[in-house]
Amino acid sequence: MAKRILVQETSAGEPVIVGEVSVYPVARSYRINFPAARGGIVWNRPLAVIVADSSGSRQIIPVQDRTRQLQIALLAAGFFGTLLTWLIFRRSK
Amino acid sequence: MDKVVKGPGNAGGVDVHTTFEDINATLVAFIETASVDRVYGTPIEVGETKIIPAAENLVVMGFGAGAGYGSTEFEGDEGAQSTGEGVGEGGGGGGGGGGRTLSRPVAVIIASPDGVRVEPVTDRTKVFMAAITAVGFMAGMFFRMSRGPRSL
Repeated sequence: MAKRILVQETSAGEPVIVGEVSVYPVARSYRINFPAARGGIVWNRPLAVIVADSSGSRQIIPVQDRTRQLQIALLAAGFFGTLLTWLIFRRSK
Repeated sequence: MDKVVKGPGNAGGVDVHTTFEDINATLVAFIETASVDRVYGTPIEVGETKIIPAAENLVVMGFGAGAGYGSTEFEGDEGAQSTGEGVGEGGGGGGGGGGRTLSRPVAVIIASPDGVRVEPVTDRTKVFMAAITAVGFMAGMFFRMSRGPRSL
């Protein structure tokens, strides 16, 4: 069977029990296998935590990467700010 | 004189089998890095509260190895073969590899009897670098446009 180049996996870890609440950590991993050589890239990141209580109700709390969100927002602002400036200069000529 | 054994398991005195076993062990360890245990740390207990650190990690690894073998040819009459005289061509093997692991805290999960909450961890240095990059890009473009068209 041919080795897949991109593999995505979502897995939950062992629950952490606090009082009557169980907290299940969930992570997502992306693995890129190099097709012509041994090795590859593995990127793991936290996805969410599932909170289950004794009554049977479950709540999913996402784990947000604030640093990544801010980085993308700033770089997008820089790109669109530059584009807007270029358009304004172009129209003023 | 030391005798160097020729064959598929030895190239120029290097044990190829051991080398490939090491490479396979490293590959297995690499595949095992795609695990939830690598993302969430061991919970820290503070009274009735448990704090779970969460981090993003990136593992990059690559390696390769190769080996070649020569042949032994005997020159002259057949008697040379019985006396061990002849011309041999050697072989060799080699390999290399490298890797890197990057890790960054993302959040901490605070679980207490009052409830569970996720507190994000902000890396100010990375945010500041992104801000400098964005401002620098805008300033560079603005400066270039304000100079007007270049004359040849």
